[in-house]
Amino acid sequence: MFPVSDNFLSAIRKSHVAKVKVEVYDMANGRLLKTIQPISGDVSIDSRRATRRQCSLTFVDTDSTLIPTNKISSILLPYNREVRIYRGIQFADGTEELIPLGVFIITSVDITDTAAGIQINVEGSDRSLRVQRAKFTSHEFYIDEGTSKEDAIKQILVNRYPSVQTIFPSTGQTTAIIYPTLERESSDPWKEALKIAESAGMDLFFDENGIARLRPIPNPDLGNALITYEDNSESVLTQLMRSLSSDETFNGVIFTGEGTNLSIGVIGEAWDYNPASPTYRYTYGEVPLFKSSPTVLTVAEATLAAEAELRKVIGATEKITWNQIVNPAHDVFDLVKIVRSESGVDAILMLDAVTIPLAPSDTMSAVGRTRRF
Amino acid sequence: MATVSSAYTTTEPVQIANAGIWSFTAPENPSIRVTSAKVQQPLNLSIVETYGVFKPLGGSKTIVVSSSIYGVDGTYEFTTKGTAEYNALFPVLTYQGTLHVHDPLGRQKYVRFVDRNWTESGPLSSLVRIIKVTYYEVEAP
Repeated sequence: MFPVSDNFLSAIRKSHVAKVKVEVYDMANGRLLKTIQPISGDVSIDSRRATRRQCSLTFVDTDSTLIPTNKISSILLPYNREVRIYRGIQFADGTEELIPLGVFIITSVDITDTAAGIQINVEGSDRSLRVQRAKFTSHEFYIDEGTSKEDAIKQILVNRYPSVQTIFPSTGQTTAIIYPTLERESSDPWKEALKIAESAGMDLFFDENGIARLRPIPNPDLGNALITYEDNSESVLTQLMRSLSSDETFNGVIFTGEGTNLSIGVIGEAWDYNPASPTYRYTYGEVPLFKSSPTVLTVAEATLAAEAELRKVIGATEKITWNQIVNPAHDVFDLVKIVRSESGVDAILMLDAVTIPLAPSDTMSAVGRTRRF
Repeated sequence: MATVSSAYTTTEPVQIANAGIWSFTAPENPSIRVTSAKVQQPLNLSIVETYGVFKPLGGSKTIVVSSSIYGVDGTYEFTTKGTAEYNALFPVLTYQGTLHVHDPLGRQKYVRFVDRNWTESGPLSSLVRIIKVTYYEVEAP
């Protein structure tokens, strides 16, 4: 959750004035081209996607400055243009607190010309797209044996996106020699970086300010809720759905190291060994998820990676989806306590996905996983 | 939960003592102008705000989340008698750009006309036309 003031957290529970700002930048020189006001749109953040943040924006061109007229200097173009999106609150004294929702590379610009006017729809993806698109073209780039995994990821990112900013902690693990995939269709440097992060039990993503970050995958069963949404006088929930299903409810992960220089494969396992858990291995049975990585070299690393993956799927016995009055500070992996007595919910959830709308008339939607206990 | 947006928030009739000295000028095309249009009372004015109305589960109060609040929009009702007055007003009525308005109270703003409806009555030689125009307050050009 993005750090916000107490006034902000209080204001979102009451009637308030929402503020939205969209800035368009020239990626070639970082220059701000224009600040524009969308009529609608949203930012979606999903921990289950390779591209964590995506946006959709709708503008009305009131003064004919937004319609692309050429492919170099126009403001809204799917080339060399980034948008930074903010949503926040204007307080009664006129001051504002705006929360960054992400830095997005514009991927498409669609113009609809009707009798009622010109409407422009813009789609964007976070900066991982820049790494993803810059497929490797030669074997001149490789990662040397013994490189720390955080440096390996950084080398891939910097090689494909030289001006990338990173904040990476130490993983305490090293890689074997890595040559990138060169097949034209399957080459995806971002996925290669994600695989290395996954093998180290880490979460790799571009944050709300466009900085690449690496962090341990949080354990949904540990930690305090960052915020509580309760069905009382401060309620912000407008709709809630519960889904209890055994589909995709895994209680174990088998992680295999598949490095070409390994004489024998290495396997790490992680299981739900808590008798209080509904997916306890010896009552629920074994429902494993299989994962593999060429950058896992030892059983210890495979076990660590399996444990991290298990944290991503454990608790999926119950999924809770809800709509609420927008709190733009939320991010995936936030721990949120939801209390709604009529639906029988009194649980701490880990957010898997959040969609933050930009129009004041829309609610925010969130998808969370319950803890096992 | 219910949501509403872009609703009218205020409507206020305004009384103007002298209806004869309104002027409408197109700053970007000064030949489009009328300086003595007769605008009838009362003036209907409104201010529009974009907002959502939410009824939280278990809550006791409605929550309104708003964003932009816009300028003073409304309708003007013009009266013309005969062809000359109508012809003088017609270019302003059909102008598809921003008009500068100066009213008898000395107030000024920029507007864009969008809908025009009128009635005609009386003898053909001196038709009386009552013309209603919907306008929105816009930024200066």
